[in-house]
Amino acid sequence: MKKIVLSMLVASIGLVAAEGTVPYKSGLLLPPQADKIYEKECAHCHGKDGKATSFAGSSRVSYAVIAGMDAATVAKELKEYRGGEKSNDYRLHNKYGYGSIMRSATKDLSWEEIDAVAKYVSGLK
Amino acid sequence: MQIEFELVTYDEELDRFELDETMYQIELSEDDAETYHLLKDSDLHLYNWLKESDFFTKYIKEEVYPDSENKKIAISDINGISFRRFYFFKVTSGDSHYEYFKKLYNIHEESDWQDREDVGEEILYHLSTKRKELILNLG
Amino acid sequence: MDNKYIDKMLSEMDKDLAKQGMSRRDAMKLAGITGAGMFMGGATSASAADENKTVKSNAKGKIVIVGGGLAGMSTAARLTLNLSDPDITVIEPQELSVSYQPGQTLVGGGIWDEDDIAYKRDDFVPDGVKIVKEKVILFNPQENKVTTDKGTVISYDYLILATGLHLDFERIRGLEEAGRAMSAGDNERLLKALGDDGICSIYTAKGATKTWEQMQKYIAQAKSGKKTKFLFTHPSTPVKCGGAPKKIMYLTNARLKEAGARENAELTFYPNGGAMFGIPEYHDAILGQFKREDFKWHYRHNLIEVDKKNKIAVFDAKWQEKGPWDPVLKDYEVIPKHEKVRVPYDFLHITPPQLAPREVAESDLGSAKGWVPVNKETLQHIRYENVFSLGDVAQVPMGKTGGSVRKQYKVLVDNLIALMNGKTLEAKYAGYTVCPLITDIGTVMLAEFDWTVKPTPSFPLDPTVERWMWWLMKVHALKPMTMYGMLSGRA
Repeated sequence: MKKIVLSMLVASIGLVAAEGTVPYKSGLLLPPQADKIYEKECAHCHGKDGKATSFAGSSRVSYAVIAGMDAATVAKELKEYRGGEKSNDYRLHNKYGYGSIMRSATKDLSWEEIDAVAKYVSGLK
Repeated sequence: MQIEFELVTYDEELDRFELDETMYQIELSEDDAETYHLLKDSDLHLYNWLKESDFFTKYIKEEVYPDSENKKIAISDINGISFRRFYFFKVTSGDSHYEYFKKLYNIHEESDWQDREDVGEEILYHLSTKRKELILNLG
Repeated sequence: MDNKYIDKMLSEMDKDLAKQGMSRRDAMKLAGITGAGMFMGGATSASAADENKTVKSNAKGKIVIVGGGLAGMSTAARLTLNLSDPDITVIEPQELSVSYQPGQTLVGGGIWDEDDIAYKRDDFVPDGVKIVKEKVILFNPQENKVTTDKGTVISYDYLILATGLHLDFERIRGLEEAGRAMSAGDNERLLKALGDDGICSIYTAKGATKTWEQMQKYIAQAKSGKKTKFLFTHPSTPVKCGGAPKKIMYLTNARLKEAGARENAELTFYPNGGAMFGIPEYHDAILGQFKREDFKWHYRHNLIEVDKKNKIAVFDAKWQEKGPWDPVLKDYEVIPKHEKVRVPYDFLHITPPQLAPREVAESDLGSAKGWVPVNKETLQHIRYENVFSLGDVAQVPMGKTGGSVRKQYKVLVDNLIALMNGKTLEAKYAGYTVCPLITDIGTVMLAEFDWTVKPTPSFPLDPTVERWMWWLMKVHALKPMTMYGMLSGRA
């Protein structure tokens, strides 16, 4: 799972740069661009509209719709998934069993970026 | 003159060394004895000399491990000079081994003092390649 | 600037000099020209003559420097002095990138103001050097290109990485809101997360001002009779300026004594390391100073969490115990152990964990530890021949100080020009580092050393003695020397 996500991330970075549009990478102290972060880290599981409930390739796994969720709740959950730097110090938040997937999706995001994404998600219809 | 030596065997699948625990002896010719005396204080040079010497490999194949198909071994001790730390070093190993490897691999402390675990990991990283170089292929 | 101190220093200096039968003018000459020069790396009077006969090389090639701080800008300047037809581009997004970071300790101690250390990038771009005011976020060394956050793609023949490092406050639990930061800039988010209740750090310019504010607040508290705890930390990562975590402690101590409040204060140092300094002579000297000033310390304590509400600092305390006998290695094992220790504080100065910027660490030019892997002597990248690095982001032992950069940038320029001319790289950096350890208002112990791990003083004086002379240098000569000497590529 992680490998697929990683290669999709790499591919998307390459694409964006090649097209000449302004690239965005998370975790680099740039002003957050929630839409770009969402597209890279969240869209392939949760869908562009935040309404997908399962991921093609893993039919066992299904999850709730995230579009329109309360921003503060989303931010809190994402921060817990992201956890601290060393997993020895912090328990891996494993709600619903998605701990490691969510952790790898959020690990590069700063708190500021998570807040921005949470707001974006709450605004999805 | 005679020198004593001990060996370890290497299991490639498990990537593990094991002590043979037998003290072997080998006779050195006059020339070889001179070389030994020259090299005996220089650690890895001594090791490499013995490893590369035909008389040594021949002796191992004939006298020590006669059915040595694809067997991999390394030398753990040469006349009391120990090389065991190369095969058995752990992050919890004692200070003397740390000091030896820090010097060998030029591991400078980045900050005023470095976590033992970090230095240990770095040493193991260097050793993963070094160990392979020390192995004799008998096959 | 606080003139009271200059006057005090000058009168102390005159007294001292009178004892030695020297005039102030002689001393200033001795300390001023050669002093500041040697202070920052042992330059002799010969260097002034050198400048006049610099022969410019006509080597060609497009040079791109990522990062326009002290290291990047000085390198750009020196290259323009040494190349007859330079094609140099500096990429730097921060307007105040060349601010004088070594002065942040003095701002934190109330000796200087923030204005005294703020310098603008645009005022220091050397003539003929192109400046791109954007941030590089993608590196493509296979195709010799970099891409900025605005989408600009810049190609190069030669690349120099001088991005500096990031302060990783967010790694500390309870300070995740702070995020990561660099020294310059408004750092609003960081300062908001640190708050106004005793937590501070001199590692950012604005944070240094806040440190002084907080320090005064708790000195007043101590003066009013209340027992006040001052904590100072040193993290588990490499840091820029290894002495700063202690310098601010010494300055706090000086201010407390000055206010007559020292009795009610308890100052404790919490380093991750197991010694005061990597060099035994300086370690002993500092230990002596600590005992003399009645400081407390606890080795191998790494700050991992802050409970802001209850004002508790949580440390990961480490120690070693004798383990079982290892019959194979014929030695006892050493078992590392650790536990969490909770320490209440009134004033907590944090030296944050530090790391290479993510865009560098995760690129092909980074390494497992993040820093740019270079040959530590030639400063050339170990994998890409046309890439060099210096300053805080380079993986060079002991190389994260201004004094180290002063030596490194000359080595880099010589080697880069040699490479451009197809010659071998002969200039070598020997690991010189200088740490003017402020031990009081008016005294500095000038710690100089290199990779031989022995003191390497530039002046024939006992390097472990704290002197007013070095304080004078630190406060008066070093900044002009850096801003006008180094940043013009000459000092």
